[in-house]
Amino acid sequence: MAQDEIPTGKIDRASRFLKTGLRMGGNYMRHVGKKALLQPSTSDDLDRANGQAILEEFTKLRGTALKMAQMLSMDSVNLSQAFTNVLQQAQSSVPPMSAPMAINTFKKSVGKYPEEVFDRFNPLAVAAASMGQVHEAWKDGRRLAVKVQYPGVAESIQSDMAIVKRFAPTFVKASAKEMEPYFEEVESKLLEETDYTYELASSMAFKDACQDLPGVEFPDYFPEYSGKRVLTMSWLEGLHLRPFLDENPSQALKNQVAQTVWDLYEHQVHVLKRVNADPHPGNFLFRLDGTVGLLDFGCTKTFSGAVYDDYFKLADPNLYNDPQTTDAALRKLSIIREDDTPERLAYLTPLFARLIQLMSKPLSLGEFYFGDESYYEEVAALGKEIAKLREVRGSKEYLFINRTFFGLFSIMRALDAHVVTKSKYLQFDPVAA
Amino acid sequence: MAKKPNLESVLAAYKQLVAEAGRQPSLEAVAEKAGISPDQLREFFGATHEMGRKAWADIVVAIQKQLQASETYQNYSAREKMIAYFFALFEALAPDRAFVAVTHADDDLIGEYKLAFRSHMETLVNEGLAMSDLVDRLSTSQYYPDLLWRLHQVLVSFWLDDTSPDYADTERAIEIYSKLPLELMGHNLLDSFIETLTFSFERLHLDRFFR
Repeated sequence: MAQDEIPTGKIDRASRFLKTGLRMGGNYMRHVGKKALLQPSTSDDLDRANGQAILEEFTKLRGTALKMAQMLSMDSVNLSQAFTNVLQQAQSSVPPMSAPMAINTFKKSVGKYPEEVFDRFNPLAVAAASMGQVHEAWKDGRRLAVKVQYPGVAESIQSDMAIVKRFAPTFVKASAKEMEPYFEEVESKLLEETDYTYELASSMAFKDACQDLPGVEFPDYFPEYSGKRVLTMSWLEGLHLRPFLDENPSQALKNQVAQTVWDLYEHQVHVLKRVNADPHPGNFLFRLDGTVGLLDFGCTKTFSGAVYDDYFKLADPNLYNDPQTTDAALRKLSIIREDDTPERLAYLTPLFARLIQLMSKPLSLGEFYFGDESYYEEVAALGKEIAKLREVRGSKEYLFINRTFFGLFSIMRALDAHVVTKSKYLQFDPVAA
Repeated sequence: MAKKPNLESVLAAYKQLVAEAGRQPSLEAVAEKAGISPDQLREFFGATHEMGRKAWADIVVAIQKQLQASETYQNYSAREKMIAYFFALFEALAPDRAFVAVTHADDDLIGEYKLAFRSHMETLVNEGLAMSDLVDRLSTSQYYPDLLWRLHQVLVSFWLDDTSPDYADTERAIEIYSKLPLELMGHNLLDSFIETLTFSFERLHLDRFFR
């Protein structure tokens, strides 16, 4: 019978992380050993093995850690592609909770048993969600998706975070301070996400705000069959990113779905100024007719108009050589600070201006091919240089915009897509490529 | 003014008194609390202990009735039915937590409940064996209900100490603590081990020595 353990104690959790750490150490030893024996061993091999080890332990911890795994997997600038691929499986490879437990949770949350409200309910989970699992149900001929949350998730988040904070920096070779903004972000979003009534309301609001965009479909939500730990919506058809790519879609189709996702983000960033908090591939369902289904778009973050203005001011390639504007914008984004020495400024200003330029390069070109590896190499090289600073630069909102782009680009890159990136909302002239 | 005696209100009065005092109340106290005369009460129960036995025994009956009414439950495997019992149990016990805390270790009061629980589980064990969901290794299946009773007591103690909102930790405990006994009862590593041994033994062709 499909049943499984959710480790509860702090010690148990800590030991899982330790185990992962040891496994990664072991993987590294093997890597070194292979090298010594002059056998071909690529850095990619090592990353894949590490990613696998992290994924295995993370999926057992569920909740917080799984979310962390997902968020790290999104940031493909810091982690190599191999690492990213394995971690991207995270959201679809969690073992399920038992049928009686899922049904008990439904009853507690909705007040009735699933069989009382649905025509049919599948007690076996059909998919994993980051903090629970998804069941199929049918009502009046409609297929529904019922997301059920593991009990006690909300309560264990703080204890999880304490451990994640201790060990995660080691995994991603970053300082604890550098990761702090991520942690804060993750923690607050996690606590928000554990309340499905909140997610329901914001999902419905977000759907309304994006309803008119062509090519996208949001599920219908059912408040009457939802509660604190249960969220019921209509079932969306479509394939996740990897299975979609396995179908060998034509370049035209890949371009089409990528364009749809791009336009959705354009709408979010420039019109709503509110974006989905974690644009990881698990939130998208790609269809062979070129449309895209959107899941879990309830967890969104609004950023202030000021941050928006400063960020996209720097995105304008024509202003790049205007030191005054650059300086002012970087200051407002808290990337450069009052106490920075002139020498430090001379180094930091062009570095971060280049990063923002690079991140917004696809936008300023008007049209972009996301399969262009040299672009990512450039981003990665710059990312490495910034990582050398061993400190966090930039406000939480700035990091958030960056992360959104990383996530979006990693999807575009996987789709190997040509996208018309010219923004209706940004008023700068495209520069010659 | 004496009311018409009613079994539910008598048991409710009894449970409340036990919960408040932490020990068995007198028959008179129960009668007073239930608003009836001691004589009327004696028509139901000769002693307060009987009320405790009845209160506990009723739990199994109520759970069985609730589970049997569910269509989903009917389609469960034997092991899922066992887990379902525990989820239903803590739902049923929740309103009487203080009463359970006082009485759950009293063998005299829970004796009848224990028998009913064991027989409920025995039925499920047999069902599981028939459906090959459970394995009877060297006739160990007769101990399965005992194993489940142990699990029951562990979970009840856990629940009584549980301070998590909505007893979420108890729910997780049901999943985690039941894993080992349920896996022991089902097909597990042991079977693969025995199978491997048996096969290896056969391959030795020991029979040739007896020809």
